[in-house]
Amino acid sequence: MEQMDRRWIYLMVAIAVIIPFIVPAELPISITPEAQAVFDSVEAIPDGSNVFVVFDYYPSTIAECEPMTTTALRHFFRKNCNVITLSNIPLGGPSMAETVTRRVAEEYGKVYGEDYVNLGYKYGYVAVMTGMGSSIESIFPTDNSGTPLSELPLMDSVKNYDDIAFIFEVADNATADYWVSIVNAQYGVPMICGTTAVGAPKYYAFVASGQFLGLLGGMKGAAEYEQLVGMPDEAVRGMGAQSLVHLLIIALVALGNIGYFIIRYKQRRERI
Amino acid sequence: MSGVEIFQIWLMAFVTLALFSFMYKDNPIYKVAEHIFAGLTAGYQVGLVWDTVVLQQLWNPMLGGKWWLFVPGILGLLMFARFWQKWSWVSRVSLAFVMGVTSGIFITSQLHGLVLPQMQDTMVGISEKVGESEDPFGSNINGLLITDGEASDDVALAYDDTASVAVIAEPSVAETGYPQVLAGSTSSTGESVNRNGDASVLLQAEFADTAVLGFGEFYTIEFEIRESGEAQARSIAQSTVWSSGGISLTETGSGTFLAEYNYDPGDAQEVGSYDLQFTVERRSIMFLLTAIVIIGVIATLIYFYFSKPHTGALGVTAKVGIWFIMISFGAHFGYTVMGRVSLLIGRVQFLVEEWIASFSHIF
Repeated sequence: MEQMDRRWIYLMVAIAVIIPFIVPAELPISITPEAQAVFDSVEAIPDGSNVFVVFDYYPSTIAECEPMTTTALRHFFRKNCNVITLSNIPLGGPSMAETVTRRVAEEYGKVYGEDYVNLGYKYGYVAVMTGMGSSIESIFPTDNSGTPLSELPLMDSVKNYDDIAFIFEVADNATADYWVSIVNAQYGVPMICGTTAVGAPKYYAFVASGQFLGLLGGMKGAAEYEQLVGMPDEAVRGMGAQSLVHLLIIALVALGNIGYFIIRYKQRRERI
Repeated sequence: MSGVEIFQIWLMAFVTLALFSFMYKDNPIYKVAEHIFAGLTAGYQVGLVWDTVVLQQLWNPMLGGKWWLFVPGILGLLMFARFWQKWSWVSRVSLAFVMGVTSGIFITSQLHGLVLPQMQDTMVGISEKVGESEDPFGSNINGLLITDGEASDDVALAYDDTASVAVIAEPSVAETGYPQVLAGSTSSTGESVNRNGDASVLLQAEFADTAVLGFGEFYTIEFEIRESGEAQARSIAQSTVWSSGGISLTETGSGTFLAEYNYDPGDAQEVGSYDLQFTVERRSIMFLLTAIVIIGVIATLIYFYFSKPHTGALGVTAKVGIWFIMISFGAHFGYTVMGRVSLLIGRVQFLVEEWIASFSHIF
């Protein structure tokens, strides 16, 4: 095992990922209390509320994060909520917010400027989050396309956090910490977080303390949310590959350890 | 699918495969993709900041009359003094401003939003409240009337033993999954109640709970009698299932329960009308989790305490701390593997479902 070329492992992982897309296998997806809490929190928002959907992730984590934002938008539009999107990520954040929101809005016949607005990106997320507490327009004088907010009917009724009922933050980095410490703690806006699997362990503490009402962790969390909303999509399709690769990795870890102990046992016997 | 879309998909597929080629070995195609990404990133970011910050937040407002914005503008320009060694000290003025503002914002937000809530959550109780009957004080029930005929200890008190039953919780409460109080009542066990507590008053309340109690879950029930008409309610009697001579609880079937408590007014009773209040909470035992949290937090903190050598009790505790840290690393590593696999799945999903699918539009 020690001498095995690592490229064989790459090949095995590649095969394990590709096979489920060619031969789809429907595996059961159990719902965790954290994902259930996300669904319940969104359900509890009064229909027609103004909500933030924050695209705080880079294109490199689309596989984990985009199913979350897509499903969240479907969930909000289904409840006729007014959605305001923004991003604290310069690379791809505002354009992903634009593309994904327009695509989902079309499914529900929503009109830009009336039912949803994309504020885009602004440098310096601490200043952005703090400034929006007094005036969103002072931070975002225009939307992502350069249209002044005063020309967008939806923004007539949305001036600052007082007019926001809920924040759905999807992040692959530490911006979620600042949404909690600045916006949730100081302005009391309830929020949930969808994050990559890498970031999820850290954020369980925020769920336990009640700062996040719920948590979606990685593709598994996204798949759970898709199931709860009743719209299985990319994440659910990806879970077959995820499970197969996990089995492969567990087998490789077990094999590696067995090999290690066998070698150590032989070396000890040789010494005796 | 239009020609532009097909071109985009093929370009994305080329860059994806070019970067994956590094897994075999380093090669010029990988280098090309890597350099394109680095250059594109820098250019895109400069353009974005120029448009969204310099133009939108500084230049345009200044032209619009907000001339005082030249102050932060100049502070920003001073940062460029770092390029000249002789004048680099000037940039410290801007840096001092940035550090001052950032410290001010961060100290408050980190303490208020992260440190204190997380510390507070570490100091959890041994049981967790998972449900509570809502608005238990909402309605007055004139179920208990104690009148004092004479201001003498020996005089028996007349007692109105007419049972009073009233719904004191909103019916919609049951839908939220919390215990729902259905009715409360009082009745006397004797013909009279005197100051010395010869007889008692039976407090009864019925509640329903749509949820089945899970493992380690239990009810805490509280009766309170409060003086009517008091702006600031004053508790006359209070009892839970845990107190001495506590409440008895009987399941009357199909998720409804009857809680009973013998209230002995004793010699401390007061004249007047009183309201009955009944509160039920569903709680779960958190002994084990709380113990793990307490041990984990203390042991991990001690591991990072370096002012004394880690020997004896301190050493043992520090070793326990290492175990907690290792378990945490394990959880992080497991999630990291899951995350990296997810990213690969995303790319493979794109290659299979979009790139290969685009073949049919070309060939």
